[in-house]
Amino acid sequence: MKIDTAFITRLQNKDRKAQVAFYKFLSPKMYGICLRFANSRDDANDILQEGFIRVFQHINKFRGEGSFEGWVRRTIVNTAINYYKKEKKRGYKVELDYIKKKYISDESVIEKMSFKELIKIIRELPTGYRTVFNLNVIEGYTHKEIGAILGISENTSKSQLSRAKSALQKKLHEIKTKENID
Amino acid sequence: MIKPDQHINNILRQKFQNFEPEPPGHVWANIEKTLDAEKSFLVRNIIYVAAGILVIILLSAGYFSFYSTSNTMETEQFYLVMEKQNNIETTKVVIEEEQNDKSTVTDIETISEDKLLVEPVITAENNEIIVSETQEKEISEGENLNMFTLKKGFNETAVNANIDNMNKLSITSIYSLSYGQPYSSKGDDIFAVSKDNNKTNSGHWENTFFISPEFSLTNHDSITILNSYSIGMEASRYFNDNWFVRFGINASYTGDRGFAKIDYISNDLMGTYDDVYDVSFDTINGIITPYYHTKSVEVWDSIRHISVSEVTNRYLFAQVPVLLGYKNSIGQFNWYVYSGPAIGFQIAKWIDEPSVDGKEIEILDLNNKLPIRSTINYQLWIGGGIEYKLGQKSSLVIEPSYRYYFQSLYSDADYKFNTSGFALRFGFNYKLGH
Repeated sequence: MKIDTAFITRLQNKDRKAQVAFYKFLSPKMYGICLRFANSRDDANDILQEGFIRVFQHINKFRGEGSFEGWVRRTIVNTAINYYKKEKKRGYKVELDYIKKKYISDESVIEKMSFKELIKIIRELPTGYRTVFNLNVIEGYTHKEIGAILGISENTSKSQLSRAKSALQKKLHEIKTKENID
Repeated sequence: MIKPDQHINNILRQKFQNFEPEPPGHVWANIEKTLDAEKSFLVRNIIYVAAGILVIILLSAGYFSFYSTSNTMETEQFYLVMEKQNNIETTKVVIEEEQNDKSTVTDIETISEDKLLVEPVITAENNEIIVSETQEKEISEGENLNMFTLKKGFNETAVNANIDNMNKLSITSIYSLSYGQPYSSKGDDIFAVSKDNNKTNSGHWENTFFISPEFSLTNHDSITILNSYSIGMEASRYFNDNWFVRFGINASYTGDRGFAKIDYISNDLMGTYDDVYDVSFDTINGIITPYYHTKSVEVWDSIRHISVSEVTNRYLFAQVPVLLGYKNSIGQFNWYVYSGPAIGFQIAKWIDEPSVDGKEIEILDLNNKLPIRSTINYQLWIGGGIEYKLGQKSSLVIEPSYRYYFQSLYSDADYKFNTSGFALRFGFNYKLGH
């Protein structure tokens, strides 16, 4: 499917057929993002739903600068972040100590893992760690950008990522050990 | 060389690039539902659309009523009686206002035959006729000088007149159109001319200052809607003695009371015990007696609590009503009824923060059950009032009214219910103009 200017215009005109086609085309990719950011599958469904509604409602704000898919992706990511901001306000605290641990793991373990398993271990991370991990490792945001998005300092973002990686490493190590035993 | 960290990152990123699971079908169904709801906004909000149209109609009616009264004059009939005495033509002008049968007769001037052109000035307010000056003027046939057509008896005759301003009518000449000659009276001839008069109709403005408590008529399990207190000014435009449209602005201070559930851990004192830190012995009367040296030790522990805290949210709204009403008079009193839409705009809000007494507390979860009000609400006002006249222009007002809120006051989807209220308004009314 080609998303060109004409197609975007149809979306801006709220053409339902175009909306359906657009959703069918991009929703699997965006759902993958939602599953990585969400605490649960239900939350991921909510984020996807809310995200696409925002895309359709604010599509007129897309100025044609950069890729349209990138704009949609950012909208979905922002929706996911906002979804958990409430939780953060309710007392989610960030510890500022920076734990330096090597993020070394056997990549073969990761390669062998199914998406379901990977999602499961990512989901087991606390919301803050998971959000920073997703933004930095998968989405490619810098710590400065993450700090601006989440309203935290650059160092806090680094600390969160370090903790996320430590937790992931622990999980991966457990899986590896289990595999060796088996 | 790629750092191990970076390598793992790349593996994860690449792996997730191809991660495209199919979302469940109900997600699109929900999206479509929301999009459809937006599409049918007009249909869903038909009542507001109708209210908006009503507002526009009422405002237009008020606007045109105002300007028609100010700029367009009413037509009244005046009678001119002209008499001839001793070859000198005397013009006697009788003005009779047909509306109230009052008449004023005034000899305005005695003029000679060769000087027939007169210029009386008639002030419309008190029907006095004043001759300002007499001037001759050559009038050719067909010349139109703001002509007033005679309506009765003298079709061939016309009165040329100019309206000097809003309050004066000046007759510049009387002459015969048929012959191009000045008109000579034939005795007690009576004829009518049309005259534009600036006399206004009964339309006028009234301003009312209101203060009012509003009592909610709605009960809800988890929300107590507190009484509102309003202060405002409303202007009424009367189309005639009875019908009026009223609009204005009221500042309304209101609030809700509810509860918040707080899940927290506090460092609580569990109790004290005496800790023996030393034992000494002494011999009393040959008996060895131990002495226990103790100190009091406090035992603290982290205890999880769930408490309920009362919270009160306060709001300031600007309420803008547009009402259509009917008023009538009984002796010293006026009574009236009205109805119309009103819109409330949230100007400010003060949201209560749930709190727990104690210093060392860590809040685990805060579930504020009190929803926040929407920034805008739509109402229907139905009411009536009684005015006690203090004088010709002022009166005291008491006004009970019922208010129905079309949409829920709250944006939270779990609190979608309609509310209503009863307001008792007290006011001071002042009539503007004559």
